[in-house]
Amino acid sequence: MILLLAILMFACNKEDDSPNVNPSDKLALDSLIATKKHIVIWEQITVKAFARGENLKFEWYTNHGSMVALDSVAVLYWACPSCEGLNIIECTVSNDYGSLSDTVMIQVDPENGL
Amino acid sequence: MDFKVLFTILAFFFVAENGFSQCCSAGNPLGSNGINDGLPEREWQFLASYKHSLSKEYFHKDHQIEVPLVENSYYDYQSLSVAYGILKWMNVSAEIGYFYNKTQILKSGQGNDEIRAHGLGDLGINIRFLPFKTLRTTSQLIVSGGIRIPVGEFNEQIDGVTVPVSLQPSSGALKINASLYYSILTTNWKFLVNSFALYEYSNTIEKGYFIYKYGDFLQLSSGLQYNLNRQLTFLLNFKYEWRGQDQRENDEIVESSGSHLILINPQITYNFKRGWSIMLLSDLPVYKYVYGEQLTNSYAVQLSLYKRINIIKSKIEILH
Repeated sequence: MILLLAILMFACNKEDDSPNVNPSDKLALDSLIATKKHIVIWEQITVKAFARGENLKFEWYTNHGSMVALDSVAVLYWACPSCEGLNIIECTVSNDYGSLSDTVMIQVDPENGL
Repeated sequence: MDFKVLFTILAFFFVAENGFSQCCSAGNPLGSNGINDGLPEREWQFLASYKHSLSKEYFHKDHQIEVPLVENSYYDYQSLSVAYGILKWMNVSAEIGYFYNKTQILKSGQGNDEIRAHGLGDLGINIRFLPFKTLRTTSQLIVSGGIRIPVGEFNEQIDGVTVPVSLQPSSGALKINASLYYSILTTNWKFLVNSFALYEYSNTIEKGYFIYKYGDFLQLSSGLQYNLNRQLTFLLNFKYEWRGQDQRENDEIVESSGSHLILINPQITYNFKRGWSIMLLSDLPVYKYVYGEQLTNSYAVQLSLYKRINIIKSKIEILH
């Protein structure tokens, strides 16, 4: 019985002692945060990607609206009058290990109910 | 041609107060390239055009409004086209172009001063039918059908950020069009009256998250051409353009799309010897009504150089 317990404890300890390898440390896109998700036309918001990994490359896409890069991980977004509606902003982060994408949806309403 | 005449002509083309025309939108410029007549059998036409267009006023309905963020928008576009008279009653043509830039200038404080794209536009293929045998005598009727294939750039980026759809060189959509052209010369051969109608239908774009259908487009124009002599011709067209409203996903109407425009379109053509011609034309909007709020065009100017080569005539000349 004692021998069995000892074997079990050894087995458990062996598992705990193994190196802690988390695949997401190589490439992770933890979140995509917009300062506001409900805006009116011409209102500007910042969208920032929180990602982990080495040599990360960011690509930004929106189906409606305009964006310019503020820095490597953030963009400034606004929508002109023809971009009213529920719009999608997608960020794709990539490196040698692959690529990951996340989206955030922004509702754009008219400025004065035209 | 003295300085006064030259100045008058240039003023005629460039002076446009509160003008408007097609607004800056994705893809190639709309409408015709300024040459609508037919080619005789076995005649080639090679055309190179350069077009500059500026859009700087936002409009709501028929009046100008102030908007933040955007200063103006412009493009510089060069196109090459080739046309051939396959039969007495049928011509074919193909056109492709390149946007040297398609630019939106931003007001200060936007991180960037401008958003700019460049690249290949869409490919246009057109077939013209000439049902009357009176080609280039006194009148001609031309029925045309064409297609625009979205072969151009539709994913242009700046610093990893995709530029807005309106600045992409390609429209991203397959478009089909049909047109009618009729012209008749007056008895003294000094004047030519012409009428032109074009209708364009756009297919729905479905690319990733982007589901969009451009509104249909109709252009009606009528004008008078004055043939000063064999070399120099002046043409003044009046155009009406209607653009239907766009639709996005779930058939949702884009409220700020669609317009009614009235434009004047002056053209000057100088025909050199050996089939070479140069043409300067402009689109100067004089009235516009838009739905919602839209950026509108102030003017567009196009310079074209073209050459026509008739294989049959060339062979006869060689034989003589």
